[in-house]
Amino acid sequence: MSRSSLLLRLACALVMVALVVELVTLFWSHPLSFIAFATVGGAALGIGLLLYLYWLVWGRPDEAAAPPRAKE
Amino acid sequence: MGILPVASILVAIALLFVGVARPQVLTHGIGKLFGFVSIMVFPLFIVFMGTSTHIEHSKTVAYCTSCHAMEKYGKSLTIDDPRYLPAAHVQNSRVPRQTACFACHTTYTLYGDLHAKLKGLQHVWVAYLGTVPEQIKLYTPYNNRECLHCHDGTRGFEDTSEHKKERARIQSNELSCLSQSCHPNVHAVDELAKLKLWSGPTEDKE
Repeated sequence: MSRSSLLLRLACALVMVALVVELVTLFWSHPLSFIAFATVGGAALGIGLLLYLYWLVWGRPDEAAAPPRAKE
Repeated sequence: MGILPVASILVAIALLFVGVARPQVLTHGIGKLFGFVSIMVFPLFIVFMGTSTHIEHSKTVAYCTSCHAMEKYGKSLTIDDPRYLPAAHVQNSRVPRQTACFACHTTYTLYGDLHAKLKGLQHVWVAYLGTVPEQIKLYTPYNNRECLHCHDGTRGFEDTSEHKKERARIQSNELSCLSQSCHPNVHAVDELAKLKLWSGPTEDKE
């Protein structure tokens, strides 16, 4: 797997983790739930978005495996 | 909690799964736009909604009393004696019952300035890793502003001769509403065992 693909995959996975944390904490009305949401969720989202922005600006899409083209 | 936030999160996770399983789909053409929406726009919108929901949760009495140290303060809202201000306010719906703590403690922890927010974090730290003080006190004397916010201008307040006489001192916080000669009975957590508690509104069963 290319570095660019890995970066994108990691960004998606981290944002996904942030959303899972949000989903879990929304069902728990407690100060610790807010702290988990803000720290764990916030960190995962922040890093995920930064990786994605890095990929958008500096990543080389050509490096990523291009989707297979249909044979003509 | 409503179905909409949960459904939105599940949809966002499903969209992100595409990026995890097939990242190459998000690198070309319309896939790039799909990636931008599913990784950036939609999750940010959902987190904004989540933050708002968390803040709404944190205004509830259930949230405040979820820490052991605050349980007795929640219980004090059921004191069956109209002289006890917080209990009388909650039981007669003078403040919203679900968010009663926030109604009177408007600048506390999460709702205050940065310093208050840091104090809130410190409270969580002390609750789990430190020693909770025997007597919990406010950092600053209770501000009359919280009382006057609702009572100022009302007939019951204005018609009371003591309020008329001490108006300037009350407004300047020189004389606290909770002072010994005025309304001294508040949470009274040390007297809870001796006081009669209200079991809640009874429903008519016919």
